[in-house]
Amino acid sequence: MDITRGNVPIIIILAAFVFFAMPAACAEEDIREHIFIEVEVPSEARVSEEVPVQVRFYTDWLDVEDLKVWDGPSDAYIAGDFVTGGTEMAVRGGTKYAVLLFSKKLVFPSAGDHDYGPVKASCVVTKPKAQLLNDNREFYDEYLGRRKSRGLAIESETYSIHVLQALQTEMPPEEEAVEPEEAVKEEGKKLPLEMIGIKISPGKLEAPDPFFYRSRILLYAELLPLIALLASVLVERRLRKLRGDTPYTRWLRASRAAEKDVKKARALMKRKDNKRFYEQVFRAMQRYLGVRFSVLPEGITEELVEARVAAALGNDDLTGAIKGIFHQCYLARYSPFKEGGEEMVNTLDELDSVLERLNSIKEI
Amino acid sequence: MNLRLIFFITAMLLTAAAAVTADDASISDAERLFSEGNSLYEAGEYGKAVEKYSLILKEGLASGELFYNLGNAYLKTGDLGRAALNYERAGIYMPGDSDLLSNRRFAAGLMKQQDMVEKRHMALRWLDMAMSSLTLKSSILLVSALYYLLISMIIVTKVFGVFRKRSTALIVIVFFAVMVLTFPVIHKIRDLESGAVVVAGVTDAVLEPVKDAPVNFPLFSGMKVFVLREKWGWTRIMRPDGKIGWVNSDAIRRITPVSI
Repeated sequence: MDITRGNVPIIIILAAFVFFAMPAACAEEDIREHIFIEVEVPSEARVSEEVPVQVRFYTDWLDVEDLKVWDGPSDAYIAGDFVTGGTEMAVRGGTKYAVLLFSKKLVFPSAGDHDYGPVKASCVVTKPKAQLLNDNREFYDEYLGRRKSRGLAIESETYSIHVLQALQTEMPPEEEAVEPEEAVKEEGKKLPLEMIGIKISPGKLEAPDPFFYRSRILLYAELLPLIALLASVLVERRLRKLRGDTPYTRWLRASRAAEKDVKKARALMKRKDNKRFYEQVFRAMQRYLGVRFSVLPEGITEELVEARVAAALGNDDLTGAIKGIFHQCYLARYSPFKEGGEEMVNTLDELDSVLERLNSIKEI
Repeated sequence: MNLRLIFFITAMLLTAAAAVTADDASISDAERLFSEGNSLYEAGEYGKAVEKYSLILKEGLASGELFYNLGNAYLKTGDLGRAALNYERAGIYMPGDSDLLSNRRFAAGLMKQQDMVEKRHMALRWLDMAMSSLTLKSSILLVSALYYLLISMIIVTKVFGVFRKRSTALIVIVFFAVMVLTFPVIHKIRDLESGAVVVAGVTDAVLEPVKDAPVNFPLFSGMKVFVLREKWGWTRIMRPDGKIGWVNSDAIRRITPVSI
């Protein structure tokens, strides 16, 4: 065959077969030499007599794990599980094998020719850790390759057992074939009486919602306490700070009070209520300084400003500005002439600026 | 404007009333079917009883009693797999029902492989047993209530410093209770999410999801398994004893599919 472009796929498939499929098939063949089962079943039995079955599991010292032996259920016989019956040594064709024995007993309820089996076995062939010390290391390399283990299923052939009538037992009458519906009823009647009957009431019928726990509401409900915990920690920290840090607390209270007072003063200015505006500005200044210096607001006088405020601030310019506001208020409140709107704006701006400057000094 | 509002409210009320009436109608239909199913069951017509009960499920309604009766009817027909499946489903609604527990035990006695030891720590199995009579909803409510109590205790005693006396011991106890009771809840959710029952007769779990793959272990009708993943008509399952294998998806049914 010439190698042409058309032949290339066929050659690749052949090569793949030779390299992959053939070794795999050979490996499967090989494993049967290393691991196999033999089943011993009598070819004749009697009804209701125990028929012994023995399964011999052969392995030539391969590392085998998770070994299980079982057979399929059948209406023809009753059987329990296989029980292990120890191990023994055997030599076959010059090869030594470890043999694991499994046995069980069958009981045939009716006479006739019955099939038994196949008996199945499954195990996992595992590469040993100390592979170099193992006689079968070449086998492991070929069969497992780079894998650590490989599952293996073994199946025996099906055996035919001729079952005779039991001794000293009369032939039961042939049962008539029953209709499927009847058979179902019979099946029900065969069940023992311990089964409890049906419920008379259908209970609360509702649309099934088995995955209700995936609901977002539930998720939020579970998150809520954590949010509450976090919020309470923050609140507690804040309260502790307010309790322990007096200058900070005074600064906070003063600035909040000033904010409100300035707002009131602005409203009075808009109403052009000259007298009350200046009273409000005066009160704002008094209250702010009273809170900051822990003095009753009514006790804030020009002298006190001179004595305590100037000393605490150390800023003559700011002290002067405070005194200036007090002066303006005095003048406006007790002067027979009414101040104009522009003066009120200027006074409010000045108050704003002084409060801002005082607020910027947190430690007094 | 007012007329529009009145019209809107009337329309809403009428719609709600119609919905309630429709629901009532479908529930009374379901109750009739349930009663017919019971009569058929009593008459020994188990297959027909199954059909009647299944019609209620097709209408989108379910209850623990319905699944229990369905399980009984399947058991009487000899379908052990579907009987076990419906008992499991009934257990979601009424886990502590003594009739259900009794029939579950009875069905388990008929199963081929009964001596399977669950691969789970003994303490966790005890906890599961302790919480077994509670539905998932009640278990979640119980754990949530304890969790709320725990957080409230931490806030009151540790954050705000009220009732400090012996508070730490109490908090530790409640915390421990929340942690411990969470395990059975997780287990119940896992049961719901991935639980399945073998409905085919005897079937084999294989090592790989391919035809003629080596057999790993046998599965018997009615056996409970856990679904790990699904692929090409195969399902990777885990037996309660921890063994893992692939099985044809038709051989098992999930306990809680998206629509029962």
